[in-house]
Amino acid sequence: MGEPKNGWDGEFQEFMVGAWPRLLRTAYLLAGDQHAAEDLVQSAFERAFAAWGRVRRAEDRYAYVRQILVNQHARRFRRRPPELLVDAVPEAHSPEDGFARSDERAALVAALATLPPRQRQAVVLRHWEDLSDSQAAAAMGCSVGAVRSQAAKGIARLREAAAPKESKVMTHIGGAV
Amino acid sequence: MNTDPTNTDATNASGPQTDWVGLGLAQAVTEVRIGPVPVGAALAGGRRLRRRRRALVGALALSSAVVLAGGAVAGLHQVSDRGAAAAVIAPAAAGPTATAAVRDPLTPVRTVLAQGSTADGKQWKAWAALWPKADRERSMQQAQLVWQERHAADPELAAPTAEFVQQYWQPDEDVVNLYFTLDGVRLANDSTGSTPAPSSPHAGTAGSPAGVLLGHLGKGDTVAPVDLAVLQVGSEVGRIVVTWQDGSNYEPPLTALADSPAHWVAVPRPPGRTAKQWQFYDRNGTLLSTDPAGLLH
Repeated sequence: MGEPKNGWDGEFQEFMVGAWPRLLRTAYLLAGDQHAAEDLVQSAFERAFAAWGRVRRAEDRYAYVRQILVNQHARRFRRRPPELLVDAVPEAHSPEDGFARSDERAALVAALATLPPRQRQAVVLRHWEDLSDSQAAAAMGCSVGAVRSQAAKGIARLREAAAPKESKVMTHIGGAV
Repeated sequence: MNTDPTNTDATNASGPQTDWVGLGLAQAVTEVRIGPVPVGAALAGGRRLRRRRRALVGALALSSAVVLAGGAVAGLHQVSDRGAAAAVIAPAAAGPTATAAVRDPLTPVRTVLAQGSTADGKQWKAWAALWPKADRERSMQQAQLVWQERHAADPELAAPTAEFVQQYWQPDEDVVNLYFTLDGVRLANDSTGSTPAPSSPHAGTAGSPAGVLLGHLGKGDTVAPVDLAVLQVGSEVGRIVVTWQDGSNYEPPLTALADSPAHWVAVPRPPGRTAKQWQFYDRNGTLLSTDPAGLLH
């Protein structure tokens, strides 16, 4: 009657260890903070383990847990306004280089944190997780049109903060501009 | 980043106009420190969640961890609502009886699994609504109907999306929604899962014990009238006995949900008691399994 508990635990552990780094990075972009990201991912894995019987049968376990993570992020964000996630909205752009500088990377994360949660999720899922609009819509539980709209708005707002560096970044990666 | 070559959605292409975003994000995550993976904490947290009202236990995955039970016992005649005694009445079927001829994925068959009264005289019932399996075309409609019922009691519950339903739709499984009513009013405390349909190739294993703890914690402003373990077991199971820590026993009645191959039992936690073990017997009285760490533990 069912598989031994220890067998399920081992399977979950193997999955968690493998998926942790990637999900932690995604959570970092959503939460904007290392500790908040770790808490978010751990919470997602707790829920995944509580429903492991269903998760393990999913075609894509990682996508399943990522969806839990996105939902968790949305719930938490409703309780905490975005203003509290960053100390200040970044506005200064370094003329020196692109995102290679740590302060610029921090600025992008901070700028990302100022976005409304749905815009942030759309941007991260589309441009970090590299999901299609339809995949992102499934993860966010909304329509494809909503993903496109939220991502476009989010990019537009990020561009306000980061656009001056854009051409330099493209130059750094091979002068593609 | 995902490099899945099958991901050919035209809208997925990140052109030069937005490449800087992906690059910037990739650079930003280099700040992330990958430390030890807190597997132990996740396992412990997951187990805590399972014990909570909304935790679902997967049909096979978590059976031994959470549910297995079997045993024989003497009756439980009283349960408590916040410590006070309340009578428990044997479950009675309610609503239409579904047969293979009348299976309608948009019309649930409702059955009372357990009922009783609270200390202040209110009548509570634990219901199981069986929504017969839906084909892919009607799965969304069914999901919306299930959501409408749940949403009426829990306004914060998000509506299902077509993408979500299609992703997790199971062609051979009925949907089961467990919930409470108090004096006829549905409470937010509920749990939704699935069970193999009669036509499922897995119908023969429908009885792999699986269950959920319903009402263990309050939800929002609502407090469940009783702490209730609900299990589904296979048709081969003829008797279940729960032994409490004080040595007393309870033998819950087995209830059929329409034509579902699984049988269901609901065990209210009596005042101040925890389960010591669950035992499952077949129809001939042969012990099938014993679980020393089941629900209500």
